Amino acid sequence: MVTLVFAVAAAVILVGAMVVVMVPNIFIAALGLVASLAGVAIVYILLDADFLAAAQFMIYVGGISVLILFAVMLTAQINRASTANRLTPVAILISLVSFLGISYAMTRERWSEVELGNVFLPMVGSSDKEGTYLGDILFREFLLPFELAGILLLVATIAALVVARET
Amino acid sequence: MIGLEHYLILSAALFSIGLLGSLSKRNVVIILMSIELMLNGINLSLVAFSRFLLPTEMVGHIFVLFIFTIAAVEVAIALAILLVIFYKKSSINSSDLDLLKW
Repeated sequence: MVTLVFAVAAAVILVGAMVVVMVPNIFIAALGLVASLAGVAIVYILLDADFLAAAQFMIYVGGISVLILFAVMLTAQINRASTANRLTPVAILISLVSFLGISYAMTRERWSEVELGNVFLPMVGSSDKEGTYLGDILFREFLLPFELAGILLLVATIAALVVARET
Repeated sequence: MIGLEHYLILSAALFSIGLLGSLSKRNVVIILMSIELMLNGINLSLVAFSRFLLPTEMVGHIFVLFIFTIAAVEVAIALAILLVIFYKKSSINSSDLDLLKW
């Protein structure tokens, strides 16, 4: 069952990503991006990260995709194709080498995986445990980065307004 | 049975497809989408490591939350810059943005 769901989610992710890269129509590319991000959320559910899956749906599928669709509608001439540049064979070579290198380096190592049967998982069990635990360490050990992220969001909002008003 | 390697290979594939898109396309919006794909590939590997190697600490989840924040900020700023560029040059092809080239 897990294998089947993983295969379907991986197929959705990779096909969506290939649609983003290959299809010349920009609007269809944006829809492929949405499909790929939703597939990533499904894989998060498989990895017992329920809160992250919900956050992925809300932030990426709900927010960032809408922003990118706004960018597509406001700027791109949709019927004009988005062409590849002259360096496409080099780019294919680089990405192929990157894929082979990363997967070789990551699978060559013998990771000492924890036996999941006999360890206490904070997120397995009652479904609200994960969010509770995450909030606990977020406000205890990672309080300063959390506040900095808040300040960053404020600064970015003001900056986006200022830049977009300059026209 | 799906193990850690499968998730890592999936994340490497997603990252490489994003790299291909960001290197080979002319449209800046597509380049932005490809950067999002690369960020998602990295997030996937972080969550997989956190789930399989340190399942009680959940540090990978925290990293992914902060990467979400950075990605949202990046897209908002990039959209504003893109709009300004489009109004000034009426084109968002990266080959037309050669103001700093000599």
